[in-house]
Amino acid sequence: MSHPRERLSAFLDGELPVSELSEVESHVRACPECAREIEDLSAVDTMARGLAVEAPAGYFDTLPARVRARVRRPRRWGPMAAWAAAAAAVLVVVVTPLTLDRAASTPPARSLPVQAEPAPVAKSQADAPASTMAPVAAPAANAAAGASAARRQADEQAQGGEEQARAKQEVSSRLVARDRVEAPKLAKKEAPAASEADRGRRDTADTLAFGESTTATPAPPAAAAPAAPAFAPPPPTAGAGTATAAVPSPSADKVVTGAAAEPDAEGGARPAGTRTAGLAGSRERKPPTPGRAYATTDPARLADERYQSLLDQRPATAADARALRDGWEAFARDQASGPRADEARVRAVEAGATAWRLGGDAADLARVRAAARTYLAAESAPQRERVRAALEGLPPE
Amino acid sequence: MLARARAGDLLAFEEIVKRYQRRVYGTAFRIVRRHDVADDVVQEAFLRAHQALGRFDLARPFGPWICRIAANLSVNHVRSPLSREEALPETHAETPVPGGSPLAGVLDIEAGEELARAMESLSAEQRAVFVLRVFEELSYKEIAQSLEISVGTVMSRLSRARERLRAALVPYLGAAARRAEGAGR
Repeated sequence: MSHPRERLSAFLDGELPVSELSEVESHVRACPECAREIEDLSAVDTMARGLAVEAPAGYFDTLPARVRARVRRPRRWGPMAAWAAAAAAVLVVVVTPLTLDRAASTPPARSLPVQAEPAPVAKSQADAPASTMAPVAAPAANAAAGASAARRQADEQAQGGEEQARAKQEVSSRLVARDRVEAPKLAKKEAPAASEADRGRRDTADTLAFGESTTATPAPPAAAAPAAPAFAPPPPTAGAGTATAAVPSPSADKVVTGAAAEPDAEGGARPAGTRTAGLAGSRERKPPTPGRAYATTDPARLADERYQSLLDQRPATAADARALRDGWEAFARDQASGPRADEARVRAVEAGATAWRLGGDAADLARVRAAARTYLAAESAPQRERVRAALEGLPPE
Repeated sequence: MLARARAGDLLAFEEIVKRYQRRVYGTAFRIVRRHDVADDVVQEAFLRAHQALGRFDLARPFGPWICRIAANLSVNHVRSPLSREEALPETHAETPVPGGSPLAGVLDIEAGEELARAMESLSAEQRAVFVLRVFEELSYKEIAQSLEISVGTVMSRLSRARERLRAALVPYLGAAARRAEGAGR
């Protein structure tokens, strides 16, 4: 027989069909050339196994936590979508008439109600799936039920509340931060329908910086529990307000549809409609005050506000501390070349150490160690001592 | 660990990611040849594995399963129109492992680079079959199921891939020297 070259590879693997095996085997025994060829193919395999793949330094230190953060989202954005719908409903009901009445000249007053109480349905369902591995569709259904209930509730309870709004503002800054950093990329390649939304979402983020609201990313667990993080967008001026108010309701529906249609592409479908953006740059800029959402599109001012809201946090639970750590890490990444990046990195380590002290969670310990190692290994690490101090009291490695 | 992760323990799942991340990354990178894409693939593979844990037979090994998911995602990515617009990187991120294999001593840097280049010259489909066979040691049937192709296609792709790599590495293979001595082909 002629040289069965195309079958030598399968012969090497023991994968030739029985019907061909004996024929090829007897040929190889009699043919030194084919025997060598098999030897070569085997050597190729061995050489390939000798090639190691290298990822960028530190990549494997952060990957597990990043994956875990993304796993957590689908279970929690159901209630978040309900909150978005509640905030959106308030805007539709309250902001639109107000802004239309006031015309373009007067920015809405501080007392303008931009928050809503949680709808009972949304809240009870929000708690339910947290301990189980709920499929993606379940939170979506929750969101649908929660959204309609929230709209009804919002109709009845469109009243202001300085403290709650402030809590929302703080949480929302974390949400924005995490959302920007962790926007999933693969979904855009895997699911065209979802990818459009996702791309649009990130384009919007780039354009509007932080002068927008997003509820797509879940709040860290316990941090979100006491004051559920609805983030009402700042009251817009008349022209922008009308446009903004028109967005929310249909977009909340879009989330549900997207999630149901693309259960696997959770990264892309998830955040599509929960954003109530559209804050035009014409809005009056004012310093942040309690009870107001971000009222500026100036990136420097927004970074200031975000920084300050992180500084103000005093974590009482491990989950709070984790959220704070994530918030600082996100800030350090977003503002990597800014003057406060170093401080943010150090504070991320400190918050990480606090998370471990409060929760005793091995994952937190590993993460704070990794973050500290990364910091201490950097050429420019002006606050080495502080980072070392943060590690004191942790168990030895 | 898998049982805990399946019961919803996210920390257990994170441990699983830690344990398998390098292996999954290796599978993805060897097929897609770009870190950013491999990163996407790895994350997505773990997310999908998490979603499917409820259906996963705990008696089976997790590693080959997640690598199959990653390989499938990798090929799908490379096939996608988006990826065709992206150029391959200029540098190779594969390096010989010192003492990592019996041939490591022989496998000098030049041979390693030649092999990396040859890997890049393969199609993503060929690389996927090669990686699942050589690194994950899956059967042809398992590879066929993973990549949704026939066993015959697995056989022919693997054969072509190996032949191409072999041809690129002729100067470094012992048999080449013997051929050069006069046996001829």
